[in-house]
Amino acid sequence: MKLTYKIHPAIGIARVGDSPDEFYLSPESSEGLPIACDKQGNATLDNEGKEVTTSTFKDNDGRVKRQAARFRIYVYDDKNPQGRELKIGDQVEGITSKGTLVDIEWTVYLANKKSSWFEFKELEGEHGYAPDHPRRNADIQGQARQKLIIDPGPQTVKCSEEPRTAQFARGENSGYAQSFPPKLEPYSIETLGELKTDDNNRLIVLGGYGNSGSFKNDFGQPMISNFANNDGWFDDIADGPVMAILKFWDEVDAEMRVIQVHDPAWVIVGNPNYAPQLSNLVTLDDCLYDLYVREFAYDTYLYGTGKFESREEVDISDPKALDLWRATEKQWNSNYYPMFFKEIWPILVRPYKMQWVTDFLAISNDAHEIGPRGDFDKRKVMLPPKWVLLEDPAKITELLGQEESKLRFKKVKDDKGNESIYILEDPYREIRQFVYYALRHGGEENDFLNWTADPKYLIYGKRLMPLLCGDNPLSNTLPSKFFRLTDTQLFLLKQWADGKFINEMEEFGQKDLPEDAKTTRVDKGLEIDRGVLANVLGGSFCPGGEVGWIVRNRAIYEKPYRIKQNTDFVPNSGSGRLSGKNAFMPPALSLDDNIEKGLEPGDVTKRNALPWQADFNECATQMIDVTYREWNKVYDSGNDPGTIDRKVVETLWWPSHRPMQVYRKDGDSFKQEDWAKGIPQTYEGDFKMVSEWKRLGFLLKNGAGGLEFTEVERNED
Amino acid sequence: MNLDQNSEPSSYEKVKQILDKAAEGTTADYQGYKNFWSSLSLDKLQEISIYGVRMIAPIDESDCGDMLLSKPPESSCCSSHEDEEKEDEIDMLEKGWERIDGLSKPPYPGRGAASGLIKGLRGEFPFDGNSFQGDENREGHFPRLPWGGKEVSEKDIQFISDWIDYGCSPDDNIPDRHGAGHKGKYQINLQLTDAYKPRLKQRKNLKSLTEEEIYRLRCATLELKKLNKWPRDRRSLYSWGKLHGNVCEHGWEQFLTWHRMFLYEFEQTLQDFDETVTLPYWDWTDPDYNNGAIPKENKEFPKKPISSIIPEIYRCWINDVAIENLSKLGDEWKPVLEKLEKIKGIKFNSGVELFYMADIEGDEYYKFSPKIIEQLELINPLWYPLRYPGMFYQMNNGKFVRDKNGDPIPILKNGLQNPFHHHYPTAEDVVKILQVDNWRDFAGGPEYNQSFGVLDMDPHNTIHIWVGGYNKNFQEGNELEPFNGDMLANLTAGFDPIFWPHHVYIDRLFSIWQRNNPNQLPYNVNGALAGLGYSVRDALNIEQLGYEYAHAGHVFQIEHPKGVSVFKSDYINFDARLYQTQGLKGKVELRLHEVVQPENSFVVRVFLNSPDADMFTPATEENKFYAGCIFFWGHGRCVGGPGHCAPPPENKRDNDKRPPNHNARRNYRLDITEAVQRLSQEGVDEFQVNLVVVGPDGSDCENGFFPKAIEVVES
Repeated sequence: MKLTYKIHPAIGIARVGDSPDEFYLSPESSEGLPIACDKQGNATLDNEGKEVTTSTFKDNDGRVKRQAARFRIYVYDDKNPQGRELKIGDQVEGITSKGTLVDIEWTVYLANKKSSWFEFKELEGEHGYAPDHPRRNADIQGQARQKLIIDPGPQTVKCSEEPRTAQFARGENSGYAQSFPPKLEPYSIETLGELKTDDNNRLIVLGGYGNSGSFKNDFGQPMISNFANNDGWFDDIADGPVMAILKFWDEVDAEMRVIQVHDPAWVIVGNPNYAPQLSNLVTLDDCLYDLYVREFAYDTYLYGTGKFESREEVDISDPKALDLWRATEKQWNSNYYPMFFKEIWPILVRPYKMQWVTDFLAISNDAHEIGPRGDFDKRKVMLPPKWVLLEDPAKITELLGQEESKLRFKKVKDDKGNESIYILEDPYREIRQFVYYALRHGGEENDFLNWTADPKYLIYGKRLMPLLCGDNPLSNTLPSKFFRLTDTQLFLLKQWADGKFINEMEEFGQKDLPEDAKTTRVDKGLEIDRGVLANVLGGSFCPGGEVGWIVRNRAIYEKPYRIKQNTDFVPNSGSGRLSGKNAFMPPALSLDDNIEKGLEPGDVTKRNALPWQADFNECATQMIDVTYREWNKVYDSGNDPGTIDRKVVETLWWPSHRPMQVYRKDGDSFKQEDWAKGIPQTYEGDFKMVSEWKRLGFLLKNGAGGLEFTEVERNED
Repeated sequence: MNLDQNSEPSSYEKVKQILDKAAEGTTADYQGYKNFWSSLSLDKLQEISIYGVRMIAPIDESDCGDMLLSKPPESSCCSSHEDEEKEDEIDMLEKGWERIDGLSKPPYPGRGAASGLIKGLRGEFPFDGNSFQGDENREGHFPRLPWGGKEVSEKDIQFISDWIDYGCSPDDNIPDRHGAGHKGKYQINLQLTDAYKPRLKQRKNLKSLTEEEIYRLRCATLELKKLNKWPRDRRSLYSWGKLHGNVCEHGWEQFLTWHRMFLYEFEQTLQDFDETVTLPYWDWTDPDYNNGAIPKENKEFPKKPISSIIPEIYRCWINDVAIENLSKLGDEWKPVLEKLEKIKGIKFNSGVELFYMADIEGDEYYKFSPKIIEQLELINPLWYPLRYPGMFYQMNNGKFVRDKNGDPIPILKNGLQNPFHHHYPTAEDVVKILQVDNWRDFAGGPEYNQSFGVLDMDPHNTIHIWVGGYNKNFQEGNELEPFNGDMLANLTAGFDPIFWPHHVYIDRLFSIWQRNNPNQLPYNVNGALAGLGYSVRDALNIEQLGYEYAHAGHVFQIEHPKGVSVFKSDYINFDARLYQTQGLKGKVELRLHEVVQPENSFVVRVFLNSPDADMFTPATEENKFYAGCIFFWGHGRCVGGPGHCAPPPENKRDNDKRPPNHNARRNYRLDITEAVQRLSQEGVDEFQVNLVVVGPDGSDCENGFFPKAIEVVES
């Protein structure tokens, strides 16, 4: 095995908060709580040395704590094929040299390019912007546009040398021509975040304080007039590359040497996660897994060129091999049996849990119920079909007489020649088929009702699921009105519906499976990568939450989970000699994309809404026109024959990302109330959100009042 | 289970026991079948898929080309042909194929390894759920089998896998692969599987073949023999014999070139089945073969087995499997089998010798020998029944002169069973023949003045005659009992597998002579080689044909990131007689393969048996261990632009006809025979090669010398 050093997570998520110095660490498992830590980012440990989570999301003064992204370095070699964390004092291998690790130099480059980028216009630009597509702040021309980028410059922190901290703040990068916006209203931006190293040589990245403001000062300003594009505005969201250089002492040459890690990482700063224990219907982990399965030969047993009997090896580091694989006709493995608790149940249980962040019982009447009488009765949907020995073989005639069309049986002879009969028992097939046929498939993004299911199912003619907003419910240009599951998720559910799945508890004797969702192991690098992403919104993207549709573009990845870095913006170890180490002098940040060369600092988040609070507030519900395709027949007022009424459907966006209604303490009991009460879904409301996000409550799974999730820590003025 | 307590359980019972034990206490459901290996019948078990994975792989129906490595012999894809009358013979051949000697090749090799059950027990894809490797690949799908149970040992897994390879038999006991005498699995890590393959293939002395190489030669030969069922298939052993009989060129200048291409094509055909196989040579002048003579003290010949006059791998012997196969033919075989039992394992020069020593003679011989001969052919496909080496009898009027017992009277001379009527070729003869200095006398005269060359006429013809011999059991009109052996006559010689090593040795002598006489060419280099589609010119250079001759070769692959500064090989055993002989003297060559062009010049000094050699070890003639040195001329500093001195690509583009790049890796060779000879004179019979890399000023030199492999070739 080739020796490699990798940073995990591959993509780390920090989140803004207005608490000046309190923060916690990013959760590393799906629906996990964040990890408690001290001021230097050292995780709090319990008596057994395990990391402790925190359920306190605000400081003593009611200010939202920031979430830090934590990065660590794993070494993979013959002794550690599964990887282990690298420690100071370990033997490391560089370019034709080896020695003892004495220090790790972490370099991060955060930037915010939102104000300089194209105006967000739904799906336009996903395949490249037209040259005449309008830019944000189009009135600022020429050289001045460079000033629209918030560019604090790169920062480096060491692990063995003080100060183990560095600021992406105005005036904190001597000798570097920083670019910060002028004084803004209501909130100026002085920093994009900071770096620390903890006592175990891990990197801690903190983002901004959630400050957003406009430099326009004529009458009526600052003003928000669009959900995604507001000229004059800046926010302190950011993203950028994370690189580590290992410094080691080569005893043979008696010389300090350096080597850069093979797989560097990326950090993205997002908005606070108000419901960390509630997954989105499609997480970023689901979204990327689907992309890697379909485009990077990530699991060729699931999806490949059809050689499923043996492992199909595709060397994705070889562009020709990968191109060939992509060009080859591929198929889903019809003999892929997904694991129920790992791969199926999480998809099924998420809609049910949305009841803690939206009042959906008002419109759904027991749908998604996981208990008795519900569509998703777990005790039923977890049972795969099974061959059962018929005790009395003679009974088969009788059975055949009863339900001849449905019974499947096999005759089997044992070694003594006695014949016995197995019958296939699958009493819950109908339930599974019902759920599967309710789903919206690829190509049905603009359909509201289900006309493709078998008419014998009740679901025929009913609403397609999920009933959530799609990538573009707003306009009729490149429309994608409703959301759907990923291709991979749909395939897994198809297998499940057909009875091709495994119940791990029955087969593998795994007794302690969590009641719901995925297991929470986080000792392996890949699990950290995926665990972090499982807490990020994976769609729909209009423009999205922490990230937008650019993450679905295969061209931005070096390989699965690794964003391709533009190497001009990260240091490298050059020849490996300290003296020969190339000076790190990044060029000016670009106003354009150069995806072929890799992403620059700020290139992921520049496509998001500006300021983030505007879209965050508005993406609550949406009136979706479901009759737009019949424009020539729609007459809103008329009752003429041959005409129809315009129909709009109020549709949810993503209730677990931006809660709608929550259970709020009301004296001794709880009542369901608007989460963002007093902040309307208007431009005025958007402006209010620029300040009010700090006061909003968090959702905690605490079982208070017999309810699974209730709101905590809302600032009551 | 109805197990007889006194008898060994069958393999199937053992398989179930292994799995039951590993799954003890588990509750896995296996889609409702529970412990499917026990709950289902054997037939069903072979069909069952658990969660989409077939537990026992179906029998492979792949094409004939793969026959040797993975093809089950029963299901031939080319079976819709004529010659049905030969069916019986072939069937016998194929049944026996399962059980050749200790080599014991299973009928469905690879079926076990391809089975979900075996992959599952081993934790291989897609049961690699517990052996997640790094984060490059997705975590595996299923956990290891049995689910929730104990891991099964590799030895037991292999047992189950073998049981599947042998056809999932309900009651047989499969041979134990770990038992003595088993050599038959391809994965055995022997010298020929070394990762580095020099460009030329080596045809070796058959004495120095490894067990693995012998096994592969036998397998490949048997593949061609099996094709005899289709006489029109030009690959069959039969077709090669026929081609030789029809167009063999003798007695003029094309003798050597024609046979060279004939061997080349035959060897290529073998390599179509197993590309590691090369044709070995039989050096009949080797004293081990007694100059073809039966020793004096054995006047009783052929009453007692004679010492080796035929190479061991071409002889015949009887084994347990054959006796078992024959025992199924009926009770009348009992006395014969008792006789065979007594001579089991003894390797005879010929079938006649075997039957004589087993005392199966007369009517008994004629009645039982055909079936026994079938078994002998299966035990060793290189043996041939119509071969009576060294046996010549007094003749009168075209008939044997017989003694009072009716046995033919051997020709005796000087107290020896004389091999035949004149001189058996010796090592000294060969040296003299190689001293001939022109094509006509060495290899044969041109078409307008045809005559035999000495190589053709004497050693070649005489060995043919000597190997063929007379058949003392000759019966008029019985095809199985002709008057003489096939090798004795030109028209039939090509049917005997020993034809090949004999002619390969002739070709080796030809190649040595060519090296000594580089300017000698036949009169017509453009002449066509009949029946083969080549011209004489094509046959002139063996290296162009991709092979060389070597007594033995030893390759040491070098993987060293920092460059070699001192190198020690393993000890190499050698045959000291090769360097003392009156005949052709052995030659030893050191080769450095694909060495990176160095920037700075240096010298590689070569020593033998000097494990402590360093830059201070004297590199002069006074040091008897010093074998010579190789000079490396550095290319110096780059004088060109970027990329001018970059390492060239490993493989040139197909259409790049330019000479090698100035920085292409180079090969070096050094003759170290003299040093080896010095050692051999002291009675040493093993040597080690030591290399010391020294800069031009005598300093040590690191990071300069990067060979891909170092090879020592004895030839």
